[in-house]
Amino acid sequence: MADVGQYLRLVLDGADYLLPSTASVAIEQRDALVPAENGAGPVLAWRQTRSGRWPAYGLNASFAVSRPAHWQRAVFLDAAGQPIGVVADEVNLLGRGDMHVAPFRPLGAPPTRFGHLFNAAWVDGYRITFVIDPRSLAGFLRSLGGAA
Amino acid sequence: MSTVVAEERIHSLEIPLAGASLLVPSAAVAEVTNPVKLFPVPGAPAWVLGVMGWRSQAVSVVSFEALLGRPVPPLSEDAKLVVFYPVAGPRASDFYAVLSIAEPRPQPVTSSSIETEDPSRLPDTPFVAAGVLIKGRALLIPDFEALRRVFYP
Repeated sequence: MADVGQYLRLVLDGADYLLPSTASVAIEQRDALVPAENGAGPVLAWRQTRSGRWPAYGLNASFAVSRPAHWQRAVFLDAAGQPIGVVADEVNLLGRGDMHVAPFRPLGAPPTRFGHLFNAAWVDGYRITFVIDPRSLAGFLRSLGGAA
Repeated sequence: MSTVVAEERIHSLEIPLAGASLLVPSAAVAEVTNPVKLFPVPGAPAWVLGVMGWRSQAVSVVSFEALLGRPVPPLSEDAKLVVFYPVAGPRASDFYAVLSIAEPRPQPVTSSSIETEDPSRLPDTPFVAAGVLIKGRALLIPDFEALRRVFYP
């Protein structure tokens, strides 16, 4: 059974983010995915399944669409039965250990119509690692298009 | 019989900004700290400089200059981060901080030590409630309700 207290550490363009491990429906290595044919679109690769294919998007550290060169894996989130993914330089499962994850709401208007991208933060002394809100990220990725 | 009424003194803090200073009640300030590494928040407005770890919490750091539509000053060695108690946000724990270009100064305020600044000389912004003159120097009083509205729209 998945531990709701565990997090995946995603490295996007050199920046660390956390994702609740329960939000991931699949993690695939790069060589298990099919590269997207349209090199200019937001989708970098696809996970082929029996029932269809799941898109994986590339984002930079600022969550802008990008085409990172050195990504290794894609993490797929459930999105109303239509999994959708983001590629990462690294993906690790972190044990709970001494992690202190505190609720956090970014200031200002949400950057997407799906709400704020983060809803908590791991505070380790002065160091901050934001925890991604899976529903917001899935909605945001879906809004990027290119998955038709 | 005469009655002597003690003049009320409000303990306040002057927070130096680039090109202006804020005047806030000392009771609104939780701590003044040295600058630490700020972690940028993707998608945040330009007035959010980043987030810092403080007392096991993630605290957003705000540039009041940017809220006024002015350039954000560079982070100098003299800069300080002024951590404010939460405005009435979603959680009682939502502290926030304002970047100050120098050490804030205690500024005891009495009715006889201040004058009201001409409103026409104040920045055209909802984030300033009023201005006062202390010894001829203009200080801006932030509108905390307006800050709450922009923080948590």
